[in-house]
Amino acid sequence: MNLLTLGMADLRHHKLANSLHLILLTLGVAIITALLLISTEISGRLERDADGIDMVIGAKGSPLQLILSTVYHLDIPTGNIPLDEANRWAQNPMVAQAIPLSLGDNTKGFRIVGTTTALVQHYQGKLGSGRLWQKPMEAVIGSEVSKAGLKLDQPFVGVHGLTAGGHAHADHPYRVVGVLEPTGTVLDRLILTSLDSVWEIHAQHHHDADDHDEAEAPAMPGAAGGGYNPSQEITALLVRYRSPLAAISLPRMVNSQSKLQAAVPAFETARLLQLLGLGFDTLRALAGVLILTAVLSAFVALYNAMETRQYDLAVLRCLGASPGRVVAILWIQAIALSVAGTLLGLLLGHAAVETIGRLANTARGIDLSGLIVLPAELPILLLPLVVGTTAALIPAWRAYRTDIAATLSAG
Amino acid sequence: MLALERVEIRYPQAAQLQFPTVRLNAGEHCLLLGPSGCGKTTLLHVAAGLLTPDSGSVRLGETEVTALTGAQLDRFRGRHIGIVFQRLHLIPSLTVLENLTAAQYCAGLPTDEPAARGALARVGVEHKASALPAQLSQGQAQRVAIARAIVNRPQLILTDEPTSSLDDANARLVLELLQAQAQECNAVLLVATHDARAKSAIERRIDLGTGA
Repeated sequence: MNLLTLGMADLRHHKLANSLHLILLTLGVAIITALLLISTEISGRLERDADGIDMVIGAKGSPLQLILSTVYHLDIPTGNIPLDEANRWAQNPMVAQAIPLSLGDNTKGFRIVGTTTALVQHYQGKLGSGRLWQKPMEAVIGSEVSKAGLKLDQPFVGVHGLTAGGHAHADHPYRVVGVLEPTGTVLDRLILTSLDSVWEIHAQHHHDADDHDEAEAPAMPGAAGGGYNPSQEITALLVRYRSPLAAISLPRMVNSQSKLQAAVPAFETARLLQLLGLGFDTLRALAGVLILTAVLSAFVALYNAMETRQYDLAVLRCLGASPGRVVAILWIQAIALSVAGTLLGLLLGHAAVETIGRLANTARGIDLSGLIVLPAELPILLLPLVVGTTAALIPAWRAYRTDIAATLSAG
Repeated sequence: MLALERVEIRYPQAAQLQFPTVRLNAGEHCLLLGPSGCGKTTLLHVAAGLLTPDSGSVRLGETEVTALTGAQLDRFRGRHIGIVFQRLHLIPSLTVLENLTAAQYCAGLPTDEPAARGALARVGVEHKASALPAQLSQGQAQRVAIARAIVNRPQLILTDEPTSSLDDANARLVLELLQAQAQECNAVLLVATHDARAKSAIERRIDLGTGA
């Protein structure tokens, strides 16, 4: 027999009401946790993917689309740009590094990206096995691609377009020569090869143009321009500035002096998060209301229980318990409820995010994991202390001040 | 043993209550008689240290109860005074046995389950040890309340109208039980009642109604 047994016995005695407070508290905490995880993981992933890319040069169109397609590999590209013009900007003195990208094909929904090995270095990719590509039609795959079933030395065929199920370039099989270790970036979902590989396939592709209908053209929307060899096109150039000063002039120069478009990932990402942010804020407010409701209900419940419990507590006083002990019993009850609610809520929130992550994995979007713990969750652990103490405060004060003789005579 | 000297209670807007001096020896049993509203319960509360008189003193054994305050008073009460309330006030969330061990714990004594079972056995409800109060009959609940009052072997047992809701046979049984348990602890037994049936069981009486 101790304070804990006394407090817990009473909680058990009012199972139904206490379960309700527990559920309210759990839901509130779960929503806050899930929001925290999702918003952190999404913005963290977006930041990591765009890290070190100051500007993207691509075909004219929506700047957000250009960023989404070439940095995050989520959207379709705005079109292609001529290689010679891209090279002109790559050699600009304000540019420290320019990585060319050529998109257009996929296998099993994973994008095949024609590029240089600078892209691997940019995302700090390390080879888990094999080597980097050296010749056309050699490919290095990201960790998730390898998880999806592609193995070292395995040949595979690119499919026209950026989603599974297009025309297969069956006569030009690639071969996997290297597998990258997980980087936690978009690199994990890409198949990397040389620019030549992409050109080789599509040069052939254009020679065979009469074999295909024009319906395939939108996959390479900018490819229809005349006057240059279509094999010498790329989709975009990922640019890193030599100095911060370039940020002021270079994008404007690109946009005004050429048919190309310059888009700034930082700016577009911020715009995207702002759009998403509206939703997050609304949900966060909702979770706040839920938690407030839970606190209020726990408070009202404890207060109401006091009306009937006053006799019990007065009896405990009669039996020799000091006012402090009686207050401690009430506090233990409130804290037990809110600790349980908080822990269950954290668990539920993580489980929910993990479930969403697994279900949404097929969409090849941003991976959500419920298995990580954020430092931002620490304040949530303080919640039960605050909630429980607040809820127990007035009942405890009443219990402390209660006139035992009067209470027992009235009862 | 128990001495209530010139105890006075003043109510803000009512006449003050003056109680006759009461002196009882260890093992002595006494009835507190009088019509409803004459202050029987008030005097019991004063004796139990639940109510501090405006003047006068309460002594139990060597202790000046009226000099104790706060947690000290609570602990002394738990340790040395057993109270059987008119409405019993068993704690509904605890089992019968836990109601007794809670009494030990609240008094600051170590939890002694065998002693608690022994107390239950003495009043004949040991078989109900793990039942909740709501599952007891009125008679059983009354016995549990008595067991809880005696579990710490108090020097003073106070009971408020213990027989008012009982039939003749049960009323006699409860009084016998109270007397037997008080004897066993060599405790002072003070029974506040307006029940005439009690008069045949206990000789010594203080009548608040007549001021005697």
